[in-house]
Amino acid sequence: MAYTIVDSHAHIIPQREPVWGWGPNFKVERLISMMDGDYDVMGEIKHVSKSLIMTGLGLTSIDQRSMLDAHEYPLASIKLFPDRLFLNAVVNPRNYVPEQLFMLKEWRTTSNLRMLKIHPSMHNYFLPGYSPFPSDVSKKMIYPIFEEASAMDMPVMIHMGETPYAMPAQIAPIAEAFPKVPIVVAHSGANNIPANANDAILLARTHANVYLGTSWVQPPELVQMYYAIGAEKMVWESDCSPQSIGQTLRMITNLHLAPPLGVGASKDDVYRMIGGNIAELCHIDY
Amino acid sequence: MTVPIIDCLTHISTGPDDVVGWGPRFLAEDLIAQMDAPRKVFGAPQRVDKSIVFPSLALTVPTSTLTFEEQHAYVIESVAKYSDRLIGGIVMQPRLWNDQVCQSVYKMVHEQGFRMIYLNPSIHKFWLPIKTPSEGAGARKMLYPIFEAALDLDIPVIIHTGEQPYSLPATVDFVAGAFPDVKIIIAHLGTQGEMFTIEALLVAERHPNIYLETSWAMPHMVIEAVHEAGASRLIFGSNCPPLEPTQQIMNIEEAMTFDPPIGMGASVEDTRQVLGGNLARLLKL
Repeated sequence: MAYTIVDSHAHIIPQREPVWGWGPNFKVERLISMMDGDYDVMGEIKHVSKSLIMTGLGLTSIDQRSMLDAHEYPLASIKLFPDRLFLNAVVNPRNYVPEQLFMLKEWRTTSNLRMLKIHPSMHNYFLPGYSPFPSDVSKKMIYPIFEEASAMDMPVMIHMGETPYAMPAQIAPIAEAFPKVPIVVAHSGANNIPANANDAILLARTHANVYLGTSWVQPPELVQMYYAIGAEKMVWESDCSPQSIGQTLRMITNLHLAPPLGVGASKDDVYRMIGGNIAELCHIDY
Repeated sequence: MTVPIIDCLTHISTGPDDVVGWGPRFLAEDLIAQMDAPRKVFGAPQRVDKSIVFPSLALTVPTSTLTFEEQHAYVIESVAKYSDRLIGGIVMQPRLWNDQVCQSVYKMVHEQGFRMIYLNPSIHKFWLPIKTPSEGAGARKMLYPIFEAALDLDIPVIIHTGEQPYSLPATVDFVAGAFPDVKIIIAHLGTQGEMFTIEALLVAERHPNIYLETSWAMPHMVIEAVHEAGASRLIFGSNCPPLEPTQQIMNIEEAMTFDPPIGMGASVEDTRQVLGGNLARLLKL
């Protein structure tokens, strides 16, 4: 077991985030600097070795940028740090599907593409459900993304955390339609409604291809998660920026502590959660 | 002299808390071990100097057969044993309030150094005094004597918030207005199972006697709270257990002192006030 830390969820942007509003920017040099910070992991000082980076989500939503334009900065940044950074491409299904999906295979070869990210709230759509409307339209938008992920053997990360588009149970139909595609539930649904993580836990218990991201999740739900689905299906996310690496990492490594603060997780289990799982899902050497 | 770190919200118990959902126990010695755990704050080693310690909430639920005094026996014993580190906090299940309990509360404050009253509308099943006549009148009858005692004893009241239907921060507004001289702390910045932080901030804006406790709060809401209410009205709490003090301190330190967009670039001095200075003043330590 490699005791390496890999962050599954980071954002960089050279300007103010145009939808969320945070700013003035979060450049790659600052992310690398934060990755290289000293973090106390079970009594050892460690650093974040690698990160899966996304562009600022707002760039994919407003102003009608192409997928290439919206990813200009992370693509350039990966060229600067090809051994540290990997691309999690944000796919806006309303504007990029199907015409712009061809470039994903190119990015896989040239730009460390390892995961696809979709965000139902940001791009205003329901995931495919059971009723014909809006599911028939949704399938036309979302299935091609999953077909690309399947063809490239990479996971899809789905933002979750608020009504009406991003409730964890809404993932079930797409998880069943593409059982070979690993799905990482970003924030485990806890982004704006912390209690939603309980629904994400049920989803992961009932769907073998569903993994749970940990950013924004509170410790009691992390404890539940560990007992319900095991360390092998938990994936640390910092969501940096705007979240920090330090306190989000600490929340997961605290599972090493004895109850009631943690669960007494082994060192191997902790490193699965903070690196091993996402590295294996994304075929990243670690 | 360095401003101390004072933790506004902790619990200890000799058994599991099967209401909140943690276990198997968390003794006073476990809490002190967490207070003394190795950590760096602003780059230097620092312990948590003092903690307000409350009993396990499981002992206090309406279905509990324990008396008020029995609910607090372990905290009273622990505060006496570690008087330099632990300050007693009273969990008041309001339906237990009577003359005898009132006398016990006065004794705990005057003789045993207890300094705070905690109310939990969700666990103890009551509305804060709202305007609907029957519900509001019942709440006033039940709660006003407790606030009158807090006023007389000059100690703050901390109110749990963060989920439907009883623990909405907006419902703190009425009692905050009725008792402007009682310091009221909105626990968790309105965040537990659901996130009602903005409600908490609106109440704080309306009432200068409102303070905001930080456990469970997301970093961006800590930042919003400082911008809205000012650093002087935020109070660090870990809610240990189940939360861990170091992680909760990091949450405050990073949100306040890191440059945007991770933090807000606040001063170390302001952050130290949140971590302990504000509560020290509130409790007249």
